Amino acid sequence: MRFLTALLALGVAVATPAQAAFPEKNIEFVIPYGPGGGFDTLTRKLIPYMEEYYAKQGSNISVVPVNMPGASGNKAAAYTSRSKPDGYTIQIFNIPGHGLGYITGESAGYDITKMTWLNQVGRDTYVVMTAASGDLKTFDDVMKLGRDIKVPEQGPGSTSNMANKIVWSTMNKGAEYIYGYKSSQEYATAVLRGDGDLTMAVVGSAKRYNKAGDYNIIAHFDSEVDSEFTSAINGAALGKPELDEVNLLRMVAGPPGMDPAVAKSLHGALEYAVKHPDIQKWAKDTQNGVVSLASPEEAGKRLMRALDLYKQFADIFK
Amino acid sequence: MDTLAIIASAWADLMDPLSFFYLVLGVVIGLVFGVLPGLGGTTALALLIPFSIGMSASDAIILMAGVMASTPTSGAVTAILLNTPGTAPNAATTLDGYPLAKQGKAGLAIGAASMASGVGGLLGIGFLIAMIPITREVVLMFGPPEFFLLTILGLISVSLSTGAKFLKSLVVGAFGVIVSCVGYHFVTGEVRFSGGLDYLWDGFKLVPAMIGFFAISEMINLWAKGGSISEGGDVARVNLKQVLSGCLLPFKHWMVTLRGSAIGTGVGALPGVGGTVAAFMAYTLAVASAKPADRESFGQGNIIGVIAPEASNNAKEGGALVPTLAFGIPGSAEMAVFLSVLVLHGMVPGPTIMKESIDIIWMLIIATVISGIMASAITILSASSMAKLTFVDSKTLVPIVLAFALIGSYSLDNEILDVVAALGFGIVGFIFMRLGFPRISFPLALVLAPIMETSYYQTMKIGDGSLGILFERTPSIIIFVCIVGCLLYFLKGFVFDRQSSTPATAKD
Repeated sequence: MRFLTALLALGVAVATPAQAAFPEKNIEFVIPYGPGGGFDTLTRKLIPYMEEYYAKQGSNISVVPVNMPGASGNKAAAYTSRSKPDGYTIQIFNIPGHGLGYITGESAGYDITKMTWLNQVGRDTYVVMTAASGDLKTFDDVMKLGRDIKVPEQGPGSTSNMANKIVWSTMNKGAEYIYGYKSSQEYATAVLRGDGDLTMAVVGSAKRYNKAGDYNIIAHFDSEVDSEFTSAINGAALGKPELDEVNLLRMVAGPPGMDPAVAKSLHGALEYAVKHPDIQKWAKDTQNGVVSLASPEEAGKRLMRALDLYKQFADIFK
Repeated sequence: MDTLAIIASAWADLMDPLSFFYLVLGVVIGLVFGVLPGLGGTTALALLIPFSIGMSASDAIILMAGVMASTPTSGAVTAILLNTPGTAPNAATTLDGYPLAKQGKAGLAIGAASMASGVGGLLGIGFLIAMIPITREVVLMFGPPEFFLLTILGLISVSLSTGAKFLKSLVVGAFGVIVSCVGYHFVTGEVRFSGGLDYLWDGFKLVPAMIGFFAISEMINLWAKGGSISEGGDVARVNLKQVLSGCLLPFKHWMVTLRGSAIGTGVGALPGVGGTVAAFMAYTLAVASAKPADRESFGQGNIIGVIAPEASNNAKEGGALVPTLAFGIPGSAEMAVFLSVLVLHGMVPGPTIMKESIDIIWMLIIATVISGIMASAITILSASSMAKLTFVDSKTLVPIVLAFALIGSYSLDNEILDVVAALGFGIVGFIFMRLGFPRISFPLALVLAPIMETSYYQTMKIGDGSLGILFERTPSIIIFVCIVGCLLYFLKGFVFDRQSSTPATAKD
């Protein structure tokens, strides 16, 4: 008996340091797009504070950002999903963009629902923007326009295009998309130039673009309309409260089958980074929406809630 | 604070020892990344982002300005010495730069290119300063119809620049267009001509294609030919004196320098189209405005063919900053990375940046000016040593350049298939070379074809299926007139040449 107890104690003694030791080496933080975009900027901003979190725990490791653009972000997601689930490879995901395969039932080279979800780090709501110099001053003006609206956009499958398709199909308003603009800044400028009637952008970007008052913000899809947008209306006011759930989520996950203790550790590092006063100040200054959920389990639930909402509109994305 | 006080304050900040160190560091990194095949300003900036996070906003911008201002200067060195454009905009420099290197005049060409780069860079920044009050209006004038016509003008420019090989140039251009069609289509969502390979989902990458088509094919050719790049001249004559005499040439041909810079800044300000079109337009215009007797010498080693594109190439940096700062729309891939640095440091590019961060803008302007001068000076001083590369025997040179080319291809994304692609393009480039096809229209087609396809589609959508919109806007009408002018010029030359050559033929 004494021998068994000693053996168990030894087992615990061996196991405990191994678990507590995470991380023992550098963590690879995969960014599914090239340098310069919103996902890249947020990830690189969070990384020093994740390192600070682990340094305080005695692990002087580095979190290394790795840009892996390609195939609309699917190349990186496939890479992460095939990586060893040891916590040393994690990735920032674009939801719903990375969930398009699950939503439409088409293969994307990875199963988004099987990933180990660690935390949500960002949430952005959408606004509808028209040119201030044009005739479309309110959402009602758009609905009364006697033709299909023209919407400059990035391309099919982009998150803002998915949001646009949901909004205009829900509102029964015909929309013709002009694809090929490389970023939200480009298609917002296209609206200003008169290439199209309106477009949608996340609230932070819209506020940045509208500093000179060039746009009318005619809708803001959130439970509460931002006080800056005096002529905007939300989904609830339009009688379509589901539109207020159409958000862009920035979430972090690792490969399927990660040890829950490791996932919890990474969740803690992400939470520390997101809640750090420097990040909060940066987010406020640059109009980026940063959030952190209570646990990895909450992150998994949040993902499924978002994907199931989009799945209702699967037909329009095919 | 008035403008002079802001400039004085920015200057004082820049002269802080640590800030000045970052400036020099940026210039050195930029020169190294520019001169190595495959590595360019975009790669250098992306690698520096993590280091810039801990710096103050002004130091980070100073470091980046150093890199951006110096990369195009050293990119010309590879174009002249190895017939390999460091970046796509350096492609036009190979047309006359490499023939000069073959004549043993590499030092002269590098000297002229460096000085033209320096002067062009300064004029480009001058343009940026002049544009500050009207950036918004200028950027809004150029939409899909204008971009569509500009791509046509660019393709015509490059084809005209090859003179008698016009048709062969079009064949190579068509090859570039086909290559550019591989991959995901932005409208239909289909993946074209990928053969089921995931690697080709986003199409062929520009850098491995360029490395293969130019550097590797050139090295295969050199290996087959034997000897050294320089076929004439004396290594003893490649000295600082030769380089310095080259430095004077952009001033002797001041009109060429001025015109190249003006084209560079103007076209460089247009996102995506930018430097490559500008460099070829500057080259074509230089050929067109030369005396008829001198035109034959273009493509054979005319120094004006180096000065015009290089002045344009560096001037475009100032131009490309206009849409980047005023709208947050990057004028090039390099500017896209620079944009992220601005955002990381809490700056918000857009119409109000000129008011809210004018101190940082002036810091950027001054840092770019000093970096450009520094980069030109370093290149000029080291040119005679670098030019001696052209006298190195192929048995030594080829393995070294090939190693750099392949490492450059791989290091882009740590992707072995990039190396395979570079080798494949190397073989195709070599075949074109042996058959006497000018390879120069390949990079332009590769860069412009996607823009042309996109802007054509957008133009048709905006115009409700009609191209009539091309003739409804002043900028597009002006570009259309330029296209017609180019074609008429070509036809005139064609008819004139035939008339003048007929008697000679009869006499023979």
